[in-house]
Amino acid sequence: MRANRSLAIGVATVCSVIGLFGLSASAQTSSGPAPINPPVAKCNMTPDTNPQNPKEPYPITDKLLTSGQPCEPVVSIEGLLPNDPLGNLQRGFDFYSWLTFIALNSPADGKTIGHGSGPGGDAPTEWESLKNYRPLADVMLPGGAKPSWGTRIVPDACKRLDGPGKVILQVTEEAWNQPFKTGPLIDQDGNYALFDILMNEPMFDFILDNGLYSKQGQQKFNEQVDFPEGVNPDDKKQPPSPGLMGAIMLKTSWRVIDPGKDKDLAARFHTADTLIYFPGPPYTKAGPTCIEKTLGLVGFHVGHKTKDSPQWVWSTFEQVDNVPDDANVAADRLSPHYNFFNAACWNCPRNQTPPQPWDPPATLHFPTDFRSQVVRVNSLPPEVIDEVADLNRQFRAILKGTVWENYELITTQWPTDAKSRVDPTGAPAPTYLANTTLETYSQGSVPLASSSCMACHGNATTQHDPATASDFTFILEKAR
Amino acid sequence: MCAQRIIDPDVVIVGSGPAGALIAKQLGLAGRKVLILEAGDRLPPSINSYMERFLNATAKVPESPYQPDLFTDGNLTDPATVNAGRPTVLTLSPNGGFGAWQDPKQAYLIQKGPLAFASTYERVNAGTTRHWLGTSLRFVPNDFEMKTKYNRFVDWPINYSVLEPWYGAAEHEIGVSANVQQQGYLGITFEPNYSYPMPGIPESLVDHAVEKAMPTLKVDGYGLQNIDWTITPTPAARNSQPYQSRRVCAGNTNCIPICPIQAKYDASVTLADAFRTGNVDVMYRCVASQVVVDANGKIAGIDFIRYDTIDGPPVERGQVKAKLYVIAGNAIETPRLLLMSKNGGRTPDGVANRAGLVGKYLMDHPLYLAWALAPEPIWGYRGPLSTSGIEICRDGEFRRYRGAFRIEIGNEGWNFPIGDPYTTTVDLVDGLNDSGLNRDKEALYGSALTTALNNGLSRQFRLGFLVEQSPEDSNSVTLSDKCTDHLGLPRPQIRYDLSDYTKEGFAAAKATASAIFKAMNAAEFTSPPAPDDPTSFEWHTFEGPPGQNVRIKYYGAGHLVGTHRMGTDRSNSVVDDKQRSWNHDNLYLVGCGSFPTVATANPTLTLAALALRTADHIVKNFPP
Amino acid sequence: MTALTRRNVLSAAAATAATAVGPATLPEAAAAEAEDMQLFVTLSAAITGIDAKILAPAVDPIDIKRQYFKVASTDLAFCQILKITKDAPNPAAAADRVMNNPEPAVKYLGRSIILAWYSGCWYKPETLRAYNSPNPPPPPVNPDKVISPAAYTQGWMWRVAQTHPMGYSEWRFGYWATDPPPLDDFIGKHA
Repeated sequence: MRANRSLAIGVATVCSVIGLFGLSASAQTSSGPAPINPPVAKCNMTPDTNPQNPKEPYPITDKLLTSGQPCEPVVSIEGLLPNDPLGNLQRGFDFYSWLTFIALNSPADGKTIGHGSGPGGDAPTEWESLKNYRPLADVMLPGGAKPSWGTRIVPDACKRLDGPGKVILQVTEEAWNQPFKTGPLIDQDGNYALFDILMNEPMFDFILDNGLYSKQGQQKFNEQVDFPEGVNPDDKKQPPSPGLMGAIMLKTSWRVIDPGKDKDLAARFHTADTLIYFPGPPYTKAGPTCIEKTLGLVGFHVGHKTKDSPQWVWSTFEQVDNVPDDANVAADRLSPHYNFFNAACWNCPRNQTPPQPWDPPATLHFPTDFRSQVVRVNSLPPEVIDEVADLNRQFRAILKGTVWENYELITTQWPTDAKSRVDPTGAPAPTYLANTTLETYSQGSVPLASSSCMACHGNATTQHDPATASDFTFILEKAR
Repeated sequence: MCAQRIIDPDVVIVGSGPAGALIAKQLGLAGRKVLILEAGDRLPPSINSYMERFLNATAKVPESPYQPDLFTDGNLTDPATVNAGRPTVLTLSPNGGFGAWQDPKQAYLIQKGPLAFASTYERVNAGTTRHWLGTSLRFVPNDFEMKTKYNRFVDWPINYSVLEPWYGAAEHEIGVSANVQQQGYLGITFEPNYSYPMPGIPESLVDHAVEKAMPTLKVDGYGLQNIDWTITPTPAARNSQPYQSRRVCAGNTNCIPICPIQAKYDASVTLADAFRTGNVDVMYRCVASQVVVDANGKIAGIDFIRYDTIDGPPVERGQVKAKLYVIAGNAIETPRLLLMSKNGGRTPDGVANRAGLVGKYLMDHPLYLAWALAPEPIWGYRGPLSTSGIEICRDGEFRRYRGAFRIEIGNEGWNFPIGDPYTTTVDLVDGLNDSGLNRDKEALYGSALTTALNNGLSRQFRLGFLVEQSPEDSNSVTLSDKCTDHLGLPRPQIRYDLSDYTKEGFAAAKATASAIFKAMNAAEFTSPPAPDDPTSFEWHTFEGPPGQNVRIKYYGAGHLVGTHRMGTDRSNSVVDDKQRSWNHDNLYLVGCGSFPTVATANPTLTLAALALRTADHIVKNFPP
Repeated sequence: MTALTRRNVLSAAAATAATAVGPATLPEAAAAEAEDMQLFVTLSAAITGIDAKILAPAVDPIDIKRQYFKVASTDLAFCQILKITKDAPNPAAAADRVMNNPEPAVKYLGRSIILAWYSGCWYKPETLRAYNSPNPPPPPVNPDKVISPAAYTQGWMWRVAQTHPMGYSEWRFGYWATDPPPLDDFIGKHA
């Protein structure tokens, strides 16, 4: 029997066998392969407005902290705003993003978010447990070897440092160089920011069962890549259909927390005691070696494939101290401290890449005194900014006193016309979206050049010859 | 700040285009310290600013995304006011009006004629690969032996077999997509078990439509009577797989002037790799102004002028020194620099010029454009700008008497010849007929408009014939004695004409175009140019009325070639086959300027092969 | 937790009749603005030949109509054409009365509006008129400006050709080897 898939907090259910509706016959026999996207015990279907009166907001109270992971967003054109279907839908997606953030970042041991034993109630999260999510480096293995779920891979160089609760982060090009080699991000302490990519079990199982974890396997796969979709249960159907989680992929960004120097900062971040592995040439200039650092979470991307958004739903969060936005800089409304901006450096050029060469040394400290001076370039419509700020205020309030109150949603990108036959990206709203830690250098509102989750991910392909669409993920192009 | 971080470099390279970048990277990997001087602006963190400039441009010409801005206060920017100017296709118009080709207040090049040199380039990081199409063809073997095989011009000092491994290295270095089994025509060979780094780009529907006509294509004359006509997918520096951490082509149909997702290779990729070696640095906005020669004839430094803003004053004059120097400025800017370098009168004819050939034998691929309306929808404006061509006619006995050509099949409708879909759309809305598609000059709206516009646009296609131009020493780059740029440096002066050999190639191209359209049952719409068009000439053709000339227009293919040609001897050439100056042991002149003949293939792949060969030579022969 | 019946209604939103108007400002000003926009969209659909629900969908993240409304409304004949549209019995009649109007200011503004939707550029009505005068200037007809980068990417002339603007493809590798979707998928049902 497969391990527990439910992300419902505090409910350690075993996935019951009711949910074989709509799945292939082979999945129903005990000797066939287990389903890639099995039914989940519980989908969080909390809407952003009152079900009895859509003009009223759903109350944002600490009840939401245990409401679980949504299987898909629950949204409507009706809502708080009169005559604004786009605005109402956007708020629904943003509300879903917060529920997702809370569910994913809840402690893996089943406690309520913010009730862990670390500073500020911090604890290892659901997504940091190998029972629930798997990092890319442990899926796309050397030689295209077959990965296995849940196993913990400790590189040799890290074995002497290993211990309980430690997270392993393997340094590939993508772990320090932003997409398409646009450049590294250097924090105000002079350390490289690090990035990681993870996927949930349905996404992993699709890759495993279709052999997509190797170049060879991708070449043999002549069908369309179509990751499993999340969908809420429907009791009205005959027979009722269960909730399915669908594929979820994450991208995380981290800064180094120096336990001495940054002692007071630590409680503002979710941290992870991390073993950072440099495989050595040709993958990294430094290494092979392994170092240990306390890393603080500064950015969090979620991509969720759902039935109504086959172009996926894209949510992104940042730690609140990351950067000022361009309006605040212009008005000189600055905080004393940021992760990636120095308020005192009035003439530091902004959003520029560091001087070359870029390859990180094993210390993760940038060799010159360069520090990234990053400003958020605003590309969101003002209505979206206001609506998100309002949600952030309320969700951060229910997380008050925990490390998690120091995170905010930027917004959610979603397809407004998912079924379009003339726009494979489904007319995304909002048009542009960037996380200042993950798309630092491509922020803006220039079509195709500036960061947009769907426009960029829409170009992702497999390594099949000829190249085929990889269903909005660059994960498949990392197979060896 | 321009303070170089590499003090005491081993090599100074002028120009960060493909030749300069490829050599810098190879030298950097070999542990040599390299300093690049780049006249244009720095490598930006993203192409946002280029794309924004492009999107806002009303004239989306090849130069439109890049600086200097083409327009200032509504008029063409006066080249005398910019520090690193360059030509634009907007200044190829008749004299007396907008874009006058010989008005120095509009045109960067001082064109003395009789015909206008029609190609342009960029002076910016990554050079002209910023706006190139990406076509990466090898030369055919006979291209290197025109004298031996056809008693024409000169042979190259090297032949195809010497360059063959370097072609492969270049294809892997820049990332070329093609299938080897389709590329072995006209004697082109590959090393055993060779494969391109990426599979070929899929052919377009336009390609398929042209392909259907190949079995019935007949051209009566020009030595093409017995050609077994076939189309060939075009090898391109354009990703068909994720490669070098860049995305796969999404068919933006915008390779020229800029690929929005950088699926097309440009030299910024190589520059980034070069920087990562830790051994390469670049000084931006630094215009080389003189190659300094010492009393022993060795190059002793490069003088430069640095500026901060494109139209501001110079902010620094200095000199960089190294042991070895590479000039990679393109076939107009490199001779300009060499000729400017008078060294206080000690080199009155410029540097590297004892044979008097620097600046001579300027060539382009003058391009014959023909366009037609297919009988059925052919679905243009989709995919890369070109995915296939007709290559089989690039070589033959006819090269004894006329320029050969290759045929580039365009995927972008009538955009190149008439600026569509703008022209036809305005025609149909405003009741005009600039396109030729609105003969009754109807002004339409509503579904009448959508139907008519769809009917026209969906059937448009064009063919571009890259004609081999003969090398003539009268086609030259010299220095203007009157006109300067904003740094006070003399602007390039061009003398340019097309020979009978080249014009006869055009006649053959014209006949072939019409024959292809006939075989496709397509209605030809190629219209003759105005008599005062400086990029046109008169010539006789077999099909035209006997004894009467027709006026034919040519475009520039964007290829600048020939002005520091390589050869076997210091008396007949400027550089040897390693692109090393005969006159100065520590000076290399690299790029298409080294080509003694232009052949018919787009030149960049050959530039890259030669650059890698030169880098290898430098590494092996000049220990650190 | 009670079973919820609310559903994702995105596809329904696209199909709803009312074209999007946007968030409200002051009630009266908002209502007048909304009506003007409605008239502008109705006329635009009739003269461009593109379904109004596609020109201005109910859920419209790019909202390009606002940019075209803004630039067209600087023209003196703008209010007149809105009035013509309001008074006409149906959109086809409105189109006819604008595009065949005896007053050049009205007729050519109609043409400028079509070209704005089609090309993302503003061609001044007086420019378009000059090319129909007894002594027209030499071609080409030049636009006054590109209205915005977004406008360029939303141009309809490309979609009427069943493709995308050069430099803005939402399609994927290899699409050019297959036939495009039919015209109706791009422009909706013909008026």
